[in-house]
Amino acid sequence: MSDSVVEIENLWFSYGAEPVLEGVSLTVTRGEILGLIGPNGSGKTTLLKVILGLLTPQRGTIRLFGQELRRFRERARVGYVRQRSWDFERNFPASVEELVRLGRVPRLRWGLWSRADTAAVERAMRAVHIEELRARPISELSGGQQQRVFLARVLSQEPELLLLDEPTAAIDPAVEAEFYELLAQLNREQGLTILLVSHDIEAIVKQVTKIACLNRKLLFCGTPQECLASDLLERVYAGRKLVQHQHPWG
Amino acid sequence: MFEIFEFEFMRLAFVGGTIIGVLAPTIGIFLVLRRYGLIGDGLGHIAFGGVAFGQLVRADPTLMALSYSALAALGIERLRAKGRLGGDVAIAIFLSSGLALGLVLARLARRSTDQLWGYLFGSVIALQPSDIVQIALIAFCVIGTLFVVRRELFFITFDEETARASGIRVGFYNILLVLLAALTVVSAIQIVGLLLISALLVLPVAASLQIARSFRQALFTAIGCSLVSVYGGLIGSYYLDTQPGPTIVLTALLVFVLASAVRLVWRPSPLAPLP
Repeated sequence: MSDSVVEIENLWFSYGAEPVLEGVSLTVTRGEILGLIGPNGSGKTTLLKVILGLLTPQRGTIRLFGQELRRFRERARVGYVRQRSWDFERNFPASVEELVRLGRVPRLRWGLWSRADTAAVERAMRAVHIEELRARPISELSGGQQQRVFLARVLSQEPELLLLDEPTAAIDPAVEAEFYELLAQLNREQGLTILLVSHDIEAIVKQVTKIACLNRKLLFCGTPQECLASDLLERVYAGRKLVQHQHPWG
Repeated sequence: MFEIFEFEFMRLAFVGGTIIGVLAPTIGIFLVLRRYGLIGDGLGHIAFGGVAFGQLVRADPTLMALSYSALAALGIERLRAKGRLGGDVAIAIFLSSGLALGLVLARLARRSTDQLWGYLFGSVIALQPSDIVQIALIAFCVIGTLFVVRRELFFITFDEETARASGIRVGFYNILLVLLAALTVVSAIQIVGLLLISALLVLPVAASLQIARSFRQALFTAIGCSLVSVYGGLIGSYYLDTQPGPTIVLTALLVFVLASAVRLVWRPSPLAPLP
């Protein structure tokens, strides 16, 4: 059995006449934490959406778990936390537990809830330490707590591959470090393969096993050490500040 | 106090009101959270075009109203899903054009529009036992379907993109929801009137959103607020000698104001920092 979880070959995508991805080839192997970095507008989010089947590429092939994306039906094996996941309707009535339970929806058989589903939800809430918050409305939580809820939701899905798009953009640096430590722990203990999109290389460099740098084309793919040793970042970001947190409040 | 129940029409009004009072907020909560709050009004007016068209081609008006509204509901959803227009704009386009088409067709059919309006605007105190059976059957179908797909609809309502990425057939559930809305609205306006159904789809849900701390709580609170409005309005209209539909709507408004007041006193703003 192949160890490749995601295989992308010569992928081309454009919005109208505007090319966003140009001939991208990338492989993510089982158990890896791949950090996908690049400046704003470099096509990182687009690449994730293409992998998820939310956008259809003009050219190229994608395989998930060895199966071509078009024929891939086991969507529950892939978990996704989208960019700006905190950006929901302020008044939306949802408790923490209700949102974590959503992770089980793609796994339900004939729509029936079983004890195994309840157990998965409990495990996910324990893993990110939010059991105490279960009855709280999501709108009353801090940015860091909300992000834990969204992570618990995706963990309750019991995915083998986790795609995270700028998961820490709304939380402060101390909570951010804790969040990445949690991801590393999930990777060690559960063998979860993680593809993490970030524009903030400093925050993720210690946690990832591989770094891919994208700016419409794939410019680099290697270990974090190789990446830091090269002059690539200087070239890609051209002296721009690397860390640009986008807080929802400012 | 109980003399009100001595009248057959009042007993039927309470039974019919209870059914609509449960049905409307159950589907309304999904519509309101998806910013489809005006869909009741929109589909009601569109149904008018359907009835007029039915008269023109001499087809069953109810069936035509339902088909016409269902097609419009699909059109509204398609415009919204394409992402070029918000749900409210899509509803406005179909509302005005559906109504205009109805009026033009009625003129072409040489029919009086008074007759059309009369057909569409039922009243909760003019219910017949057969109306109760009809609306009960529709409520059973709509609530039953919503119960089966509640988790998927809740997921899509909270975060459509993530639901789609998880393999949920978002397009199918969105279409199902607007078709259920069309079925509910078209059936209910003939029985209890457009004003009552469009108000009960929205006002009790808006009240419950002021105080609910979970989706389940929001749903049951909305049903509670809706029933309180229906019963309060019916009793009020009997003793004040006012029209039952508008009295129920005003009671629902009062419930909303009370819920907002409760929120101010009891629950902190969601934007307030945590202690």
